[in-house]
Amino acid sequence: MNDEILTKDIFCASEQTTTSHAGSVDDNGEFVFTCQTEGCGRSLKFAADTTPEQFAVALKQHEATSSGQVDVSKQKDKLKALLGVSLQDAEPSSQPDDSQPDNNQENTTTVNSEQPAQPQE
Amino acid sequence: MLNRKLTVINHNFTNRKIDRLCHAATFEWDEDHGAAAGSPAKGSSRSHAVTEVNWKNIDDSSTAYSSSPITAGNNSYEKWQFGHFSGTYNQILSGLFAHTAGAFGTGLTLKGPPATTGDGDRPIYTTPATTANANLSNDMTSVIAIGSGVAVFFGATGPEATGKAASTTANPAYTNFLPTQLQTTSGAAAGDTATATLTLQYQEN
Repeated sequence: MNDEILTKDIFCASEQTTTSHAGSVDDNGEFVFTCQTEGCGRSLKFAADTTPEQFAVALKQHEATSSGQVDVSKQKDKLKALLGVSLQDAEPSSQPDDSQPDNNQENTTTVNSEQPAQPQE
Repeated sequence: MLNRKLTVINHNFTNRKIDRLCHAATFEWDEDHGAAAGSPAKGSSRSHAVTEVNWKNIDDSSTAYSSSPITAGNNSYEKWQFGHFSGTYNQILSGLFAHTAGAFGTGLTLKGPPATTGDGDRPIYTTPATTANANLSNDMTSVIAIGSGVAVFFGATGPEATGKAASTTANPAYTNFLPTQLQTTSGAAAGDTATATLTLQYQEN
C-alpha cells in the first residue's frame, strides 16, 4: 500500500505566498503542516482537538496576520542585488505615462510648529 | 529535550518634543501566570520587571529553562508578557511588536499575537497550556524589521483591561497582552536555541 501524501496550500510566512504544505500528525496528536518549498521547511501546528471550522478560521487569521512581514535576511539578499546595479542599467523613460490621469493637484500641508522651550532664569 | 532561551530588549522610543529637561517614561516587562482569574481575565499571579522570555515546559518566570525543557514535538507554555509604563511622560503611542533578531532552527515555530486594531480584539488571557494556541495567529519565527511588527495598543489599569487604544495618556499605562509560544516538531534539534530578541517599539512625548 502506498503512503498517502496529504498536502494543502497554505500561506507561508517565510515565503510570503501560498505554498504546498505536507500535513502530518505528531506524537501528541497535533496537526503539523510543513512548507514543501525547497529550503523553507516552515511548519504550522494546530491543536489535536481542532475542528474543520476552527482550522479554516485559523488559516485565514494566520495569513492576515503574517502577510506583509519584511524579512530582514531576505532584504539583505535584495541589498546585495541592488549593490550590483550600475548607473548604466537604468535608462530614463522617454514615453509619457498614460496610466495616470492628468489632474495633479498641489496639496498644502499645515505644519504646527512647536514653540522652543523658554530658557529659565 | 530542548532548552529555549531568549532575551527581550525593551527600548526603541522616540522623543517627539525636545525640552530642556528630557522626560522619559519608566518601562518594564511584566508577566502573568496561572489560572485565568477575574473579568477581564488576567493571571492569578503577576511577575514584575522580567528580563527574559524563556520558553519552557512550565508556566512561571522563576524556573530555569534548563530545568523545564521542551520535549521535541511539544510546545512551550505560553508566555503572557506585556509592557508597563510609569514615570514621567505625556503620551505613549505607536506601539509595534516583532521578533527582530536571532534565528530559530528547523522544527521551531514562534507564534505570537495578531495586530491589535481595536479594543475588542486585544489578546484575552487564558490559562497557559502546552496545546498549540490557535489564537496566536502571527508567525513570528523569522526575524523581521520592527516596522513590520504588529500594532500594539495601550491603556490604563492593566493589560487585561478594556479601553485600549493606539495611544494613551494614562499613567501608569500598559500594553495589551503580548503572548508568545514556541511550538516544536519532532525534527527540532536538542539543546539551546540561539538567543533571540523580541522588541516592543513605542513613541512617547
